[in-house]
Amino acid sequence: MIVKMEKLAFCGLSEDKERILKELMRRGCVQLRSPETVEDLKDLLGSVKQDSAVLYDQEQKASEYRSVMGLLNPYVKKKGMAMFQPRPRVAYDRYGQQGAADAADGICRQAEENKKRISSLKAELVSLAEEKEALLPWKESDLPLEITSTARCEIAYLFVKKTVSADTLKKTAGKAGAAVFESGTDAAGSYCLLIFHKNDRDTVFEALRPLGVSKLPLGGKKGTPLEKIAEADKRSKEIEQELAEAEALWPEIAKGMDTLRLASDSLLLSMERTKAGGKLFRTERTFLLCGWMPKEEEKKIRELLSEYTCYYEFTEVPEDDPEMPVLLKNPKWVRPFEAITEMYSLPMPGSIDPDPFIAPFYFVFFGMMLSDAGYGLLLLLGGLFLLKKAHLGPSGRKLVTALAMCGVSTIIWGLIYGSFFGDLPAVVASTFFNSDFELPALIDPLDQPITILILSMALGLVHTFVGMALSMYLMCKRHNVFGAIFDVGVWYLILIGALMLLLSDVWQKVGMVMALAGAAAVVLTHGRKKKNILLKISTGVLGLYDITGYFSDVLSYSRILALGLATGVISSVINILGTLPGPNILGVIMLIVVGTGGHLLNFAINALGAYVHTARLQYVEFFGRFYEGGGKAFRPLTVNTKYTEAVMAPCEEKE
Amino acid sequence: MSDLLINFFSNGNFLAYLGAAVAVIFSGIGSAKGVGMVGEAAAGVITEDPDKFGQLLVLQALPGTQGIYGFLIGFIIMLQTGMLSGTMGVLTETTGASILAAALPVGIVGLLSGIHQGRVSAAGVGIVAKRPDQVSKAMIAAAMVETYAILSFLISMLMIFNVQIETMA
Repeated sequence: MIVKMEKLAFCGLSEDKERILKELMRRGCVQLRSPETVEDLKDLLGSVKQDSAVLYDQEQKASEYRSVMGLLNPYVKKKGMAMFQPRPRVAYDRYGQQGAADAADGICRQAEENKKRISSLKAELVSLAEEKEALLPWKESDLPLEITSTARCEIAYLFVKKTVSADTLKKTAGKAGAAVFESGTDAAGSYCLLIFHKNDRDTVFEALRPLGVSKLPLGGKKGTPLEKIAEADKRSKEIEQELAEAEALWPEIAKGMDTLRLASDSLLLSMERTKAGGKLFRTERTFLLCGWMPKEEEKKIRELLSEYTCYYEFTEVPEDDPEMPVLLKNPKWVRPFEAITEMYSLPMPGSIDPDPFIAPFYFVFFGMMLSDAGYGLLLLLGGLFLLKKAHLGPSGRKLVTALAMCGVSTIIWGLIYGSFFGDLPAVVASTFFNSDFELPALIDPLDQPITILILSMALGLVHTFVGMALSMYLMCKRHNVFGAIFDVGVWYLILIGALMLLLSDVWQKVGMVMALAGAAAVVLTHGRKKKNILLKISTGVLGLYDITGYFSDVLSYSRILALGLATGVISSVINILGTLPGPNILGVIMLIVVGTGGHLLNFAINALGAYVHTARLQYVEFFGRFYEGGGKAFRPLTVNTKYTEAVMAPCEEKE
Repeated sequence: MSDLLINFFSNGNFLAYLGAAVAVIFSGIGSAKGVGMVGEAAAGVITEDPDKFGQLLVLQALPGTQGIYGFLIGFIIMLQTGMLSGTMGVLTETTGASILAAALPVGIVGLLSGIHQGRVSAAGVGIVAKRPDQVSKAMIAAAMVETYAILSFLISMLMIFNVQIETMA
C-alpha cells in the first residue's frame, strides 16, 4: 500500500528552531521540501539561507574525528569482522551534549599530541644514528673534538677517497708542510687527521686539492669521538624507552573510542539539522518549514507542535500528485519483499504498490529454482544469523529477511523434489551402508521434467493473469472501463479459450467460441482511436499480434524448471565425485572435502541465479503488464547514525 | 585421411564423445571470455575502491553459468551412455549422432551468450563504480542475456534425457 501523504506548513520562532528540528528528527516522519518546489512561496526564496560556514566547521571537525578514530582503530580490542561488532546503544537525548563533545576533543588532542611526540622522537633517533655513523671511523682518535687548534697549529678532519693511496697523501702533505695521521678506513675511503702550521693553511689545501680530499665538519663538539659515540648510544636508548612509553599510551587513549563514536554521531546528526536549516524560510525572529508527512502521523506532530509558540497547517493533496514522496506500508509478511520493488523503482503516486502480489510469487518461484532442502536450510540459517548478529541497513535487512523466507520455500520445494544436498542421502546409503534408501519425492524433476515444465508455465500464467487484473484495476480507477475490458479483459477470454482447446470435445468447442469471440473483440476495438476506417481495421488485426507477447511471457517461466534441474544435477555430480573412492576411509574424507566445497559453490551460484531470475520474472514479465515506476522515496529528517545505535524509547525532556 | 574421417563420423561412440566435448568446450569458452571480460573491467574499479569487491564478484559470476550448463550436459551425456561407469557398449550411429545434435544448443548458444553476457556485465561494472546502490539493475540486464542460455540448456537436457541409447547387437 502507498501511504497517503499531506503537506505540512509550519511557522515558529527562531529560538525554538533547534529544539523543534531535534524533536522532528526523533519522530522521523517529516520530509522537508526544498524551498524551490514550494509553488506559492516563490517570493520568499530570498529568505532561504545556507549555513555554509557552520557546515564547513562541522565537516572539519568530523574529518578530525575520523582521522583520530583511524589512528586509534588498531588499538581497540575487536572480535571478528566490523559488520558483526556490537554497537554501543545510546539514548537519543545523549546525542549533542556539550560534555561528550568536550571529552572527545580532549581525546583528539591527546591522540594528536602523542602522535606528534612519537614522530619527533623518531626523528631524533634518526639524527642520532647519523651522528654516530659519522663518528665511527674516528673512534681510534683520542683527541677531544673541541680542540681544533693550538697556539701555532691547526687540525683538520679529512676524508680521502680510496683511489688515493696513503703514501701519495703523506708525500703531498709533507711537501706542503703538514702531517697526516690515519684514524680509520671503510669501504669508501680513509679518514685522516691533518695537522699543519697556521701560516701554511692555504698552501696545504692548495696542494691537497688535486687529490680530491674533503674536510669533515666535526669540530665544535665536546669530548673524544668515543665519548660522543657512547653518549649517542645512551641517548638512543633513552629515546627508545620514551617511544615505548608513548606507544603504550595508545591502548589507553583508545579506551575513549566510544566517546569519539558518540561525538561523531552527534556531529552527524547536527550536520543533518544544519542542512535541514538550509531548507527553511527564515527571518530574524521566525522560520517557516514546509514538508511532507504521512497523514496517519498527523496526531503525533500536532501534539509535538502544540507545545511551542507557532502556527501550523496540514494540506491534503490528491493521491496522484506527482510531487508526493512515496512510502510503502505493508503487513509484516509482505514488508521484506518491498526490497525487490525498491531495487526496481518505487511506484508512482496514485498507482499500485505491487508488494502484496510479489511476495507469494517471489516466495514460490525462488523455492522452485533453488529447490533443495539442504540449501534452503543453509539460506534460512544464514539469513537468521545475519539478522541477529550483523548491522544491516533498513533495506539490507528487508532483503535478508526476504531471502530467509525464501529459504523456507526452498526447503518445502526441496522436500517435494526429494532433494537434500542433491541425492546425498541416497548416495551415502548406497556407498557406505549398501542400502537402497532414497528420500521420498512427490515429483522427481529428473523423471518428470514435463510435469514441472507444465507446473512452471501454469504458475506463470497465473502470475500473468494477476498482472492483467492489476492493470484492469488501474484503468478502472482512472475511469477507463472500456479500455480495461477491451484492451485487457478480452485477453482472458482468448487465453483461457486457447487453453481449453487442449481439453476434450465439449470444452474444446466452448474454448473455440471463447477464443474467437475474444479475438473478434480485439479486432473490432483495438483500432478505436484511429480515424481512418482502413487504419481501424489494420490496427485491430495487428492487435492480435499481442498474443506473441503473452505466449513468450508464459514460456519465459520455463526457466523455473531449468534452474531447478541445474541445482539438482550439479549436486548429484558433486555427490558422484565425492564418492568415487568407494566405501573406505579415503571415500569419507573425499566426500567431506568435495562435498563441502562443491555444495557451497553450487549453493552460492544457484542462490544467486534464483535471486536474479526470480527478480527478472517480477520486473519483466509481471511489472511489464501494469507497473508504473518512478516514484520518489520518502526521506524524512531522521536519526541516521554510523557508529552507535540510537535508542528512542524514553521521550521525556531532560533540561 | 578422408577414409579415417568417414570412419570416425560413422562411429556412434565417437559421435557421443564429440557431443560431450562440444557441450563443454564451446560453452566453456563463452563463459571464460565473459567472466574474463568482467574481471578486467572490475579490476579497475577495485583499485579505486576495494570495498566494491563483493558486488563486482557477483557481477563477474553471472556469465559463468553457461560453462556450468555445458559441463552439466557433458556430464549427463557421460552418465547416460555409460562413459563414466565404463559400461559403454558400441553405440549405433543414430544414437551417437542424436547425442551430438542434442549437445549443439548448449554449446553454440552458450558460446555466444557467454560472451555477450560478459559484455553486459562488464558494462554493469560502470554502474557499480558510479552508483553501487543500483547493482541489481546491472544484474537484471545481464540475466536478460542468460535467458537464452537457459532455454538452450533446457532443450539440450530434455533431448538427452529422451535419446534412446541403442547399442550394436
